[in-house]
Amino acid sequence: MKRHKDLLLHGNEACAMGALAAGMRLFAGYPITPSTEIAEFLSVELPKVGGTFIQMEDEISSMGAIIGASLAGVKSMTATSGPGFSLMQENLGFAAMAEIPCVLVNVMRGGPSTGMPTRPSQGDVMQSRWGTHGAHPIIVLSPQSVLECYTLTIHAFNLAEKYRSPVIMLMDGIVGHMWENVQLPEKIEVIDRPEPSVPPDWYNPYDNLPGGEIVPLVPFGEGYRYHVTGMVHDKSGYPTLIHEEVEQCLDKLIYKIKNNLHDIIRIEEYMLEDADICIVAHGSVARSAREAVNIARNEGLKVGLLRPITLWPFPRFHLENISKKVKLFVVPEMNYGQVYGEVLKSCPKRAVRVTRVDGELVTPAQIMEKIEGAAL
Amino acid sequence: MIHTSETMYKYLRPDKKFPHVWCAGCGIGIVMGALVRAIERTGFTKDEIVLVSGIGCSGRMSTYLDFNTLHTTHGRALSFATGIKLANPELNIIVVMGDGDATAIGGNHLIHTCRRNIDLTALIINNNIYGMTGGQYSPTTPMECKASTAQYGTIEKPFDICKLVEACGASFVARSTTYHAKMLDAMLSRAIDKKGFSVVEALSQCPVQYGRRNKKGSAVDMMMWYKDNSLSNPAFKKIPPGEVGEQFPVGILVDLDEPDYLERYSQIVKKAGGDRL
Amino acid sequence: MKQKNDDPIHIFSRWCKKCGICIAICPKNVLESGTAGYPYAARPKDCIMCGLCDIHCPDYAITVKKNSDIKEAEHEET
Repeated sequence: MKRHKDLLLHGNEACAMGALAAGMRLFAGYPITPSTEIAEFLSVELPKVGGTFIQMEDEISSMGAIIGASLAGVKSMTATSGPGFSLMQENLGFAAMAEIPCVLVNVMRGGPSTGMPTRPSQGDVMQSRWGTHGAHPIIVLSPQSVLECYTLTIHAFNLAEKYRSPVIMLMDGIVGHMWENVQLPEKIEVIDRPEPSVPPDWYNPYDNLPGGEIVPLVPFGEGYRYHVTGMVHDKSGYPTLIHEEVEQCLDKLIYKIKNNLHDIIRIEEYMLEDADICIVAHGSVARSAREAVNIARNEGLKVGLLRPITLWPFPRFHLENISKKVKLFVVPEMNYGQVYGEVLKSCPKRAVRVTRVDGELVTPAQIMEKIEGAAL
Repeated sequence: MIHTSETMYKYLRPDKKFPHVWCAGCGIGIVMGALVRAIERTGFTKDEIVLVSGIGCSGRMSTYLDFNTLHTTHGRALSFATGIKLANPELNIIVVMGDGDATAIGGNHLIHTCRRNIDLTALIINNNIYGMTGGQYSPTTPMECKASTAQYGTIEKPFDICKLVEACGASFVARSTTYHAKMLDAMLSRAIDKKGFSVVEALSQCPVQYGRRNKKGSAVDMMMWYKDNSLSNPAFKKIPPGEVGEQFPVGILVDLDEPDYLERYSQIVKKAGGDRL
Repeated sequence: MKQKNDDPIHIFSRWCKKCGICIAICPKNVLESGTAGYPYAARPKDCIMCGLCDIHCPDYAITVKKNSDIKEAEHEET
């Protein structure tokens, strides 16, 4: 694998390369457009580095296999698109509940159902947040470029290990299939699983440590025998129905993310300092939005862009801060307004949406139309 | 002779509540005893064993035993186990499933795990019913049996689990029953030692949800039924096809020596010019 | 060499669920159901230490005493 040079890559390839750079050594997946190139690339590259590639019988088992691999101490990943993502929800919930680090890539295509396999979409913003039953937080990242497909995949693995949580790379079909000339960074930060700080007899894989410190997940087979279940569990991992323990178990899932928002949330601001209008866009649409900002600035309009790189947890506080300065939010998306709904929560009545669900990218002109039409 | 009760103390988790959750007369306890004796015989340490279970009555087994244990989602135990095995081939993985778990919701995973011939041991506890959820019919409930969702009798043909997994390519297939508890642990230790995908079907009585509804009598009666209707495989084969009633073969039904998935995968690594860690 | 033991059978009634399997499976009819429904060794002298009760108890509530000089009892099922 070449590095540090200019490489012509597409997003899916960059994502797979990022995973390898992060130390991912087991990929289990099922073919689905527009994510398949990730599996194809890894089926060639993983054996070269002593890793394992396996094509499973479906997306359900793919998700199961990567959880199993992670429990055996190997960084693991799967990749899919909307319909497969729906099938993965069951075991994604398991990974969240049992606190298993792993990365799930969803290259979004048009839905619902089989929808438009070969057309991009951003329709899974809410599925990525609320697709499982019960309540648990989740970390979702949204890249806008081929380079970011690489860097954010590494970041996704780091977050997964750091917070013992599944992390979703939510790419859209455009980002996944887009070719760009990229220079991969020479230095990357890779977080590996920490060693346990206590001997086996003292080890509680789900302990509530003071200060919200997260217990390292010890791989199976290293002398730390413990129980892992999708049921609500006590600190040692056994199922429980005792009220206090149930609350502790579920609260911990929430707070390990909530108490670390400052570390988890990444955003990008563009020309927001003096902006009257803030566009909120992510993924490929953010590229159109950036262009719209440039056009608007040329026309003398004070428009800026907020790009959530971390889609979930949603950068609500950033939005609320910006809302003190701007008069209007414009939210372009390749769906009927999923991020728009989140923006409304923070700034009611001052947001408009630009939606597109026909399988084409939102254009700068469409965004401009909304900006110019807004009575300021 | 390995004394079950004494051996159990070595393997049961002392911090779990006993007696266990299963109903009086339920065969799963007998199967768990057989599994522990089998593991004791193979000589593997507790750290070398991973016990993966699905959901349902059988799924509770993983909670009780002091191995690396994983209680997965319904039907998906084999998928999780596949990931563990590929990530760390040194581990010995035993997957405990029920009949509904393995052949209904997990049917797809079962047939493909057979086909791949991954070095796992599947213990399918077949009690012909969904016990935990209250006696609904499963893919192995015999025809015209009563279940809570088949009050007029079942009309679906049941699976023969052993035939199913044999057809799908499992390397080792054996069947035993709770009556044949000693044979069961022998089959299980063979299966654990076997390289490749092994399946042991353990017929196990559910006197509460299946037996009572279908007038099969007590747990003892149901075990005696296993005794009366089981035959060794050679004896079973002698019965003319049309004359097989409720009889079934027990013992080793398939024992093949074929390269397992990881052996084949190492060839891939070689072709790719890589180095398996 | 088979040795008869006076009371080789140990029943742990805290774990026993009174299913009756041990009583039925015993080839020598050693066990009987007591007043509270728990099994007890009515004819312990008849015990051949085959261990069938031990391996068939779903609750690990009965065992026969290990005696190193007892030849392993053989039994063929089926």
